[in-house]
Amino acid sequence: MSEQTGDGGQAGAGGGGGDGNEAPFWADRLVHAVGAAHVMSENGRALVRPGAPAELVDVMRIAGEVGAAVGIGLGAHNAGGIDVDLSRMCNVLYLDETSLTVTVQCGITVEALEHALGERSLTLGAALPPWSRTRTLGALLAAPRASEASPRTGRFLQSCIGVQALLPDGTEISTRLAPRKATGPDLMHVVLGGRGTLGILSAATVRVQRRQESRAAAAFKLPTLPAALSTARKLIVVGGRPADLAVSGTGTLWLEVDGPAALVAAEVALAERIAREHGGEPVPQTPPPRIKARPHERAVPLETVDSAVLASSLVGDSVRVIAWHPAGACVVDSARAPEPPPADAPALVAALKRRLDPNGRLVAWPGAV
Amino acid sequence: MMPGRVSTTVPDRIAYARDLWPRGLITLSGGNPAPHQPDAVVWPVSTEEVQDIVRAAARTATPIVPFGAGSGVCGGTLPIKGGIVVDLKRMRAVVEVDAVAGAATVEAGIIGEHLEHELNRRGFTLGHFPSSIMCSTFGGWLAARSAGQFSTRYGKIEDMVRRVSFVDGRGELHSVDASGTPDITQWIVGSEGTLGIITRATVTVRPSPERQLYRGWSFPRVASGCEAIRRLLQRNLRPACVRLYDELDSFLHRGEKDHDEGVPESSGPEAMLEQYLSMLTPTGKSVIGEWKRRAIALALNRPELVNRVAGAVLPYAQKGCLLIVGFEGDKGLCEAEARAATVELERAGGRDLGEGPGLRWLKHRYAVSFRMQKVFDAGAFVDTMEVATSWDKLLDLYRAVREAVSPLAFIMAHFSHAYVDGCSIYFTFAARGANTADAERKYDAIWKAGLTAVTKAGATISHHHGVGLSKAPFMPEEHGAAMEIYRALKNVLDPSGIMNPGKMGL
Repeated sequence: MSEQTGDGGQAGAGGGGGDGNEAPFWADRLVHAVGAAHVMSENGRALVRPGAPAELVDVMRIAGEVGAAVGIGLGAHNAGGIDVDLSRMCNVLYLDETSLTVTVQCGITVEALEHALGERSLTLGAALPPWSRTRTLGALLAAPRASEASPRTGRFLQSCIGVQALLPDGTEISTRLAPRKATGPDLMHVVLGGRGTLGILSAATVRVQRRQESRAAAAFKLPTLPAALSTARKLIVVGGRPADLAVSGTGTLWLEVDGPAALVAAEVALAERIAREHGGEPVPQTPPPRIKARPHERAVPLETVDSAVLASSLVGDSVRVIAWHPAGACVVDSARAPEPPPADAPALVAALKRRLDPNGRLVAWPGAV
Repeated sequence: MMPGRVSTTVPDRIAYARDLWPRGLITLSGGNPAPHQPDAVVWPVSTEEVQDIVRAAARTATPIVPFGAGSGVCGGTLPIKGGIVVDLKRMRAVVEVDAVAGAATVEAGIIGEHLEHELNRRGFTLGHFPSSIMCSTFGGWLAARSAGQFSTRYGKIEDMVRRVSFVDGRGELHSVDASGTPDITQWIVGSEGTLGIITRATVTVRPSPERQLYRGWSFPRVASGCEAIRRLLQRNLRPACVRLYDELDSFLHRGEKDHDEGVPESSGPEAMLEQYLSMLTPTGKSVIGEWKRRAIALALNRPELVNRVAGAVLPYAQKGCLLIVGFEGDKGLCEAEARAATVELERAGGRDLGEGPGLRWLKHRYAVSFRMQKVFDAGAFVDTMEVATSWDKLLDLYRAVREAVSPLAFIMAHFSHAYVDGCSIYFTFAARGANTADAERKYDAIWKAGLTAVTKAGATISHHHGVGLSKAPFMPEEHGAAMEIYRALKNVLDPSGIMNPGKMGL
């Protein structure tokens, strides 16, 4: 058993870990905090499953006192530390059907949340890709992917209007809910996209949508891939707001629209006009084949979407451009392995981390969560 | 350094010791034009010069106040600790307009109206039309999270941002992208000069609208009008603008049509009050002369009385609440949206007033703010309180603020920035003090009562005017423990604390 390292727990370096199959000396304290059924400890590290924010606070406090690093979904990577699994924190706290927002604990999966919303004819409405459905809401908000965006809602992060989170020192924060604010920096954006290193999200309030009066889908075959990309980009720039929009590597553009019947017809007509300007023709609408496994993703700004797609040398059936939104889109390639999580945080994020978490209490959240 | 573009002269120092915070105007009317003067004013022309200025200031621990056009209404640019005012108006280039991607890269110091004209010339619009557009800058909009009158379609300025370049409090230049994780642009936008100086930004622009359709609607009450707006937004319709005036605001707004041609000859709340008070006379005729003077004095000195009478009489005396709804953009989409909206608004109990009120509003939409100034000459004051919350709490917020402010000031409201999940309320209040000190005391009491009610109702204390000096005391309540994050950001980006010190409750 190695000696107690006090405050020295750096990322992955561990606090009071051991090198055998023993539980860390502080495991008992975790058991006391969250109950024996929700602590697994071995090899000097522990996996805990807090069931409520207060238990998460206790876990953070214990981690601080014994100098153990805390990570979410790190598994064996967090040697000598505490791995937090939020899957028990999956309750819908408040569904506001007047404002169309839901406040929900962050351990819930997209699938489970969509199921709960579906019972009230609601949906997240963010056109999330199938491979994101098993992710937790916390993962979507803390480690967002380029594919998690849609023309109408923008990046999924932009559906979030408030968070409850724990800062590295255990301070609980809860941001004020309002559709927009002008009260300084949007502080929620320190935790959103922070990959769990600047705070742990315990709950979030996100916008939801009601099922609309009518819905339609349409597809257009463009003579070339660049023509299809230009069509999609033009549609976004002139203010088209389909619920979903995708371009296949072979030059087919597919869109889905919903809303009042008059608007739905006008949205489809606008797409058809732009497609025809680019030499396209309507084709029978069939949803593009589902990509099942998580593909390789790359965010591209609207400015360079065509050059970025054409430069990927293997353009063909495996490539698709999805998640179009006012500032960009996402190129996915199902023939390539998923991209690794980013190696380094941007310099400003690293500097803020040193300030908010001088002892390196919260360790990185890998993209695989 | 910067020959001819640095000044320490008294006239310049007085000129830059002000913004449009109404409390400052009260002080000014009391004969004190510039209680907080900067030591110097500089006009940089490049990012490098901005960096040089900040580095020099950091070395000597000299405060820096970034300055656009001074139209802020919260005291955000007052140099309360002296130091250097950095006026960015000479950095005003439209660097690039990318027609293909619908994006414009623009320097911070350009006046809003000049930016819009330049974009229009190239076939685009920013879609950002604050009533201050002629006297505010692009950088100022970003610094304070500005909203324009068409925000319901185009978004607030922070919704349009793709990239921001800024010089931090150490003189270092950063360029951050909204697609980054975390989205660092949202740390800087709204920081009101406390974290650095925004030098340029890239924002989304839209093709100039092919078609504009504006109409007026009448709803019996505020509640039914709000409900109609909510239904429009939640059915995926995106009007460019929705503006619902409460009974009193509608009544005064309706008076506008009497002055449809040219500039109204009488102006300011005194005239508004005259129109309003004439409603209360038995004959319905305008009160004049001595009676007019007394009636206005009554409204400003005994607001609780007038507010109460207004609440009781107006709903019956006039024709309900006016709602302006406008659509614009691509011709086909715009016409389809307007058709769908008509169905929704009729279903929600609205009465179509035709294009007249919509077009009238379009024509006069910048007038009201500019007319407010006159009230101060009369020893009275006017200010606005723009707050926001979710739909479920909106009417509670409306009532709570009215109730809190009514004993202290004459108050009315409109609802003008709507979202799928909520809406803002724009309160206008007027009162008068016996003298300058009394006016300042009353002014502070009104804000305290109003914002305490806002916070208690769970709403935000500012939707688009920002915080500056005036709302700084309410920041701890607004953000709670999250203020710790703001302080950490401040420490990282401005370790010597020179950037706009004394603001934002830091």
